[in-house]
Amino acid sequence: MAVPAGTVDAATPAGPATVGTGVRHRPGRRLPLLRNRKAMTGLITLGFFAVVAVIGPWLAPYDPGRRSADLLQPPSGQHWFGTTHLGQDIFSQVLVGTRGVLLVGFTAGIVATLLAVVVGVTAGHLGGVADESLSVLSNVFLVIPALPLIIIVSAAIPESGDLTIALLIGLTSWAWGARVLRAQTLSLRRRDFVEAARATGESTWRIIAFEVLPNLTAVISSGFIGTVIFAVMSQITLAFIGISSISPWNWGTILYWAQSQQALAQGAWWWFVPAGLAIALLGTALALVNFGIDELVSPRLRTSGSGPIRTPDGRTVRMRTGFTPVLASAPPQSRQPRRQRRRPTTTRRSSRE
Amino acid sequence: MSSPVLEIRNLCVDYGVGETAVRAVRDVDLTLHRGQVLGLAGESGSGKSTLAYGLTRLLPPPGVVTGGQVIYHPPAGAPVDVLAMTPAQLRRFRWAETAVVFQGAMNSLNPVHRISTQLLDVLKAHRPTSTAVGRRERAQEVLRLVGIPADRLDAYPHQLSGGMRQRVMIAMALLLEPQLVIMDEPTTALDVVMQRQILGELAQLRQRLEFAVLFITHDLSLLVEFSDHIAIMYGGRVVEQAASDRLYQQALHPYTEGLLQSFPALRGPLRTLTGIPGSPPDLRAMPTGCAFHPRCPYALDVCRSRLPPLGRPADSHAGRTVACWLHPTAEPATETRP
Repeated sequence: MAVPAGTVDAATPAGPATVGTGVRHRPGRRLPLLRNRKAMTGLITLGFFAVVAVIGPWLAPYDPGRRSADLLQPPSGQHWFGTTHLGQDIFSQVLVGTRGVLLVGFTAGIVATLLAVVVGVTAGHLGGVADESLSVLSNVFLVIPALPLIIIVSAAIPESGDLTIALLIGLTSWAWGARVLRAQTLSLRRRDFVEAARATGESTWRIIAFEVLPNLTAVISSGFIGTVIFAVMSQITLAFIGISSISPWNWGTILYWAQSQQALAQGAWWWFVPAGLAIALLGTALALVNFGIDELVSPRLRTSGSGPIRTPDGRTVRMRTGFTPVLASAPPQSRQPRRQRRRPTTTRRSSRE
Repeated sequence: MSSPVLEIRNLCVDYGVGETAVRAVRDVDLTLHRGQVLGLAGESGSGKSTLAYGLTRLLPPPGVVTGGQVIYHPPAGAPVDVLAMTPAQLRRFRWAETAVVFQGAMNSLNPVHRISTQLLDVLKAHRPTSTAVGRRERAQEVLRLVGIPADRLDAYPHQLSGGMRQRVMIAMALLLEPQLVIMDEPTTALDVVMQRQILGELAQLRQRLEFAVLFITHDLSLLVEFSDHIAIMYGGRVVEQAASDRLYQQALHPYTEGLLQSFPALRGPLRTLTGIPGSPPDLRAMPTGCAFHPRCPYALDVCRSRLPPLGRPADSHAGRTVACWLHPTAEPATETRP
């Protein structure tokens, strides 16, 4: 039994009667994402990594590749994250490596998302032959095993830098997003407001850009975040197994050296723990932002503001669709409680005068 | 008057909790008698739908019931408080005792299932002991009740017209012989001819099956004709309540008067349609005193500061109440009006 959304709207009419008095503007009303605690945590962490990516190379106390006499030192005041078997400073390596990771992650994410939007929305909206051919294309890309392809291509290209890797990951990971967007667009294009736009003579591209795309924002952004996570993981995997060039530093390269020099067997935990933690933290931050977007889009998942409510008589109730919580149930015989309940409203009124 | 089937006492419904809560329904007292049609009228945002969903506890979050009682009197047995029910009790209570026909009900049918599937599903869930043949017969019976040939039982929703779908929804509500049917603007999406036809049939059905109806609409003309009793809501409160013919003949509250003057009478002398100036109040910033005073042509000084209580006006018959300083419960009401 779905209760029509109109009932909620009906209770809060916004008309000329809306006087400014007593209307509190909550912070973050314009940007609901900022009110969501999960998304906020994720965004702050992400921002931290972004800052490190930009200024990390200048912050780094040492040249990450320079050897020194401090071989395989545990963390100390001089080398915060310790040193490698060649005396390289791991803290500097992590700082310098951040830029590559984020660059590849976000470039691949943007490339894949752009391709997914173009292919998916076009296919879903146009239908017919365009849909058929674009669907075939995305189906083909869907079954291409991405990682082996990247391994082969990056082996064939002699000097494969970050950008090559990013483009390769982006070009192989858009197909799922395209399929999801196509399905969403298929349902959107039959909605009344799209039909109305078509009837008023709006051009196809205007309909796509102004009527359809805004409704897909959430799907697109969560797809983007998912692709970024995938790209970061792929890049680190590639560096870890030594496929991509190991000359530019990134977290995967650190792990590659740690693994090839048997850091675990030597008990040099400081070699792989910082990079591993950084990867986990970045992944968590992206996932948190993703949760935030999900909750924003689907109010069913939204928990903010509807946690357990404590009633005056000490019970705890929950907001639940179909079972409206009852906060207080007054005994009907006594008229007294009714007066009492009214009093707070009257005092509030008089204070406003 | 016969025995009550539903008593609403001091019902308060909020949207949200704490400081920012919007008080959508406040201190509503209503009694619905067996076999009676109680009409609930008011502008958009006056809280009529919120009241109906609040008393059935169907309000989606952030709606909460903040106080009051909703006493349901089953045909046999002790009265129960709907607000005190557990989810399991509510599930049993709904549909079998109280059925709801929603706003835009004709879109409530699932387009991929036959009507029969959707009707029989209800019977299967609520009457697990019934036989398949018995269920089918019952489904055909209710369809015939609302004027749909029984052979349409296996039709898909898209094969029926809007009016027929609406009838199917009403049939669905009547399937388990509820004591109370709540209708939330059930005919707004239909043309006036179909509206009349369906309401006429509903009135007959009600006499035959003796269920009570809580009928919510903003169309007061419809209510005057169709319901026994009318309650007018404004700003989350009931401002006037009376038998419908009496309300039509003599509206006491200026708001009711305004509502009545916003549609023309078919017979009798011509009168100017005035309507009500202004717009409904913002529930977040309600006017002081009587909520209607900024729009009221007869507003007195007392209206600005004090909330008029809902009570029986001293000069009037029993069974009608009004919340207006023009008709105080103690003094006669005639001389204050200019």
